[in-house]
Amino acid sequence: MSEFELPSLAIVGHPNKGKSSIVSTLSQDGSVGISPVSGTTVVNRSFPMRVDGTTLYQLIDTPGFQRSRSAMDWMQQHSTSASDHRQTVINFVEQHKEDPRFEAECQLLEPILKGAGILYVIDGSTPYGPEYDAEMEILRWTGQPSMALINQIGEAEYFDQWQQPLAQYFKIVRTFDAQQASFERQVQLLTGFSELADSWRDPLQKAASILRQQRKNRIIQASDSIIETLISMSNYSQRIPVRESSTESEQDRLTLQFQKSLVAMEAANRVEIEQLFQHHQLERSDTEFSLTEDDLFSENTWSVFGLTRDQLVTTGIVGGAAGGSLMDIGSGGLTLFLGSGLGALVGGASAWFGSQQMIKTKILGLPLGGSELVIGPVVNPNFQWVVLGRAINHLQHICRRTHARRDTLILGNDELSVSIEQATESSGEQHFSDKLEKDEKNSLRSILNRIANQKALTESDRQKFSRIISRQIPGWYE
Amino acid sequence: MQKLSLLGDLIDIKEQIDLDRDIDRATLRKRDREIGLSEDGKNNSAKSKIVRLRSWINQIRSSTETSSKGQKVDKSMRSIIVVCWLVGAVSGYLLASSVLAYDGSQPVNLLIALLVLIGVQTLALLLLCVLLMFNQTKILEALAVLNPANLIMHLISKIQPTWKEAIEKYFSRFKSSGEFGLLPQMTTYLAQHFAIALNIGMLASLFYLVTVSDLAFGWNTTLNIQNETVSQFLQGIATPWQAVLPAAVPDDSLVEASRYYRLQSKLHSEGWEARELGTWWLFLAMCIVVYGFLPRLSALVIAGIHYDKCVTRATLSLTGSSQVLARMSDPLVSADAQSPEVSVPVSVTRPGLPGRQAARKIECVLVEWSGCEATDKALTKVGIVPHSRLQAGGRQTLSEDKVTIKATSQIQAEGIAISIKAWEPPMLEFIDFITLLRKSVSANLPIIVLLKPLPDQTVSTTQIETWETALGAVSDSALYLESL
Ligand SMILES: Nc1nc2c(ncn2[C@@H]2O[C@H](COP(=O)(O)OP(=O)(O)O)[C@@H](O)[C@H]2O)c(=O)[nH]1
Ligand SMILES: [Mg+2]
Repeated sequence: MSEFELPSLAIVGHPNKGKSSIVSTLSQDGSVGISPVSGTTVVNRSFPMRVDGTTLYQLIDTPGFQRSRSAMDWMQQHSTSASDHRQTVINFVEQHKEDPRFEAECQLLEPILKGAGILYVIDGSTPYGPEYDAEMEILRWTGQPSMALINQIGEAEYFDQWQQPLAQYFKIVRTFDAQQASFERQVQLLTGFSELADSWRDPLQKAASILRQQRKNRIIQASDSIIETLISMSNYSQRIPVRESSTESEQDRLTLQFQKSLVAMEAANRVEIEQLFQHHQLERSDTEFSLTEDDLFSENTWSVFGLTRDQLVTTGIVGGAAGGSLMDIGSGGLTLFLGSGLGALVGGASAWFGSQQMIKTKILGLPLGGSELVIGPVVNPNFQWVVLGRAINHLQHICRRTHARRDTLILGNDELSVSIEQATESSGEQHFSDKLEKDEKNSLRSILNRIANQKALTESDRQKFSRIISRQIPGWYE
Repeated sequence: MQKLSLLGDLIDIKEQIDLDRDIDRATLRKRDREIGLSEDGKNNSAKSKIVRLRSWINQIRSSTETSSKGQKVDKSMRSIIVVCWLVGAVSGYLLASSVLAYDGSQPVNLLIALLVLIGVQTLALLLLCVLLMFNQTKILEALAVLNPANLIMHLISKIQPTWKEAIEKYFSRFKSSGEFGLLPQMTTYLAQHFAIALNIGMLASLFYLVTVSDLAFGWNTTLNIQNETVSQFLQGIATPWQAVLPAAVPDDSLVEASRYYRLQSKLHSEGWEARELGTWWLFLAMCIVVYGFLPRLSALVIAGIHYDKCVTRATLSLTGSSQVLARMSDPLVSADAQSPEVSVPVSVTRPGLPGRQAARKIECVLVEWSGCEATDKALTKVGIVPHSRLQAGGRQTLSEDKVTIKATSQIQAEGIAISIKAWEPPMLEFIDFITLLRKSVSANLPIIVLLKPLPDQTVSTTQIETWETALGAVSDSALYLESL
């Protein structure tokens, strides 16, 4: 009866109920056309899951029904008894293959008649209506195993209203939020398809375990990439020849350039991680991080990413006295530094930079005369925490994001401070390191210290680091 | 000799990782997974990371004709080893020949021979061990100038640009880790090759001299040392081979007989044949084998293991090497569409449905599509006075719809209003209905599509746009769209 040896599912339903979104999420393909205007999908598209060239299952995205009543009308006229329902549907498709009026119906029925299971998608945020009856009836006539899936596009909830009519046509009814479903939910849905056919169980289980392993690997690779970025950003310095006549504004420009290079390193890491999770089309709006007071020292950023001054003092990253002078830098000194400060430093006249400067800056004499300004590396003890915090925040968003979403990913500080407030309210968590066990916290601290001091990391450091990163990811399991 | 290609692999892996940066991820994953799978085919899946990495680079290299940078470096490395052996053997030969020079006037001084041929290299080896044991890498690196292998390596770099580049670009880099760097590790290893050759050279020289000339050995000292002491000392030295080769152990009488005083210009003992004194050579040969050659052999093995480990570590810690391994072992998973999206251009330029003056009341036949009820109150708000209510769509059959159309055309009204669910997408079936309806009424009779929102909601702009687009395609100048 089935031309497909492997689990195949045709995703069908009314137009605009999230069929393509579900396929997009399950196949992690962000390029699927999803649009609020119906009729975006006009022909079937197959999404085979392949592992090393072997297909484990396939999803088939179809256009929605357009003339289900007319089709049903034809079928009723051409059916003589309940026993020929399936044959009638086959005849219908045969007869109307070339008929532009039933293009959508023929497209979507074709894989079903070839043996694909039916995944019937409705939107649980809008009420049931009689316009759905004809299409559900047609699907029943095909005699293929089926499952109804309640997606939720809007706010309202009409789940209860749907239960009864769906139950008439489908033995299995599930809910699934195409845009918000967690990774684990996605895998559950996938393995749940084996309820349609016993022989699907093995390939679907295999697919599930491969997807889980893939996710694990990705998170580990992401953490490798984060640590590499952290190291290069921490070690980064720029050498620029300075002339006697260098003006202060020129030097400020150089500092800005230094900062831009750091921003570019961070951005490259973002893209790499997005690619890793197959978010190729992602648009992102990120508040650029800068080395200003706001980012490294603002109340918001510290509590989110960096450690607070108190934490810095108590964790022994800086001694008590140094903690005091950090305070000074926080309130004004920094502006001085980033404004006219560099000029003052170049002149060698700045006293307060002392041991607590933000960015290491020094002038080197060159053998052939003239001198060179060396900007960097950043020596602020909060720097690594801020960079790491921002990276974790990004990674969390990327891991959580389904491929059905087409909106811009916003990683602003505003949004962050909101989420931080929520997190604080709900769980008392404040800093990302609060999620860690005590010994993990200590290892993270020592790893970041090593990075800050430009010491090499051991293999076990790196492994610990990936574990720590993994624990920040929702739905991570050992 | 796998060890001889370790370095080349390191360099090629590094170069390949750098090249790969410009290749897109999908291509890399495909290439490396294929390599990984072919490795699994050879039952290599359980093998260590370094084995996998090296077979990776081997497979990539095999696809190119020209020899890689790493292979050139390996070639240099091999020639360095050859030069170490040559120079070592020649030096050993010359050194031994000069120490053992005997013109018949005075016997070869055994103590000097022991000191020069064995003592110096044993001390050097001990020093190396001590420095390594106490992790004194700084001193070790400073002493590298004394290492002949080091000298040879630098000489080669003068004639082999790839080797020079390798030294500058790669070997020095691994110093920064604070661990014993790759370069000293390598010179230490090479030095053992040199030293083994040196010992072999010395042995060759000894055998040669013994064969073609008569060597007489003796010993002398200015110090007031008893013969027994010297005897004990030499027998102590000979302990390792005492049991297996007693002939190479000097006995007390031989020691006594071999003592000579230059003033007397003759050997202390009368009656000893020079030939018998010559049996010392066996002792000396054993000394070279046991205290020179064998320790160096083990030093070569140990230094080789360390060197191996060091290169392995450097290879594994290359940025990007773990990604290569991951690409080799992670299954190639794809679930995305196999055909490109066929998109219908959704007409952006909507013909735009003409507006109706809502202020004017209009008496309409109301068609409720798919059971979409519109209350009188809601209708009045948009200026519609329902004349009569008819049903279409939904559970109705197509022929029932036709009855509705017929009835509509027979009722005299100012227009036709159709209430419809704003949240449902416009279906072609509905467009069919409107087209049929229009055919049965006059072309300018207003048909007003009324979008009904969900309870407690208003019609969204997306919904309006969606419906405008759909209805715009009908191109009917008396077709209107309004929201309830
Ligand atoms: N908020 C939300 N919107 C969704 C969800 N699923 C689909 N949509 C939206 O519904 C619209 C239609 O989705 P699409 O997948 O193209 O539906 P299809 O026509 O059935 O393939 C798009 O605007 C989607 O963004 C969901 O789970 N949540
Ligand atoms: Mg679609």
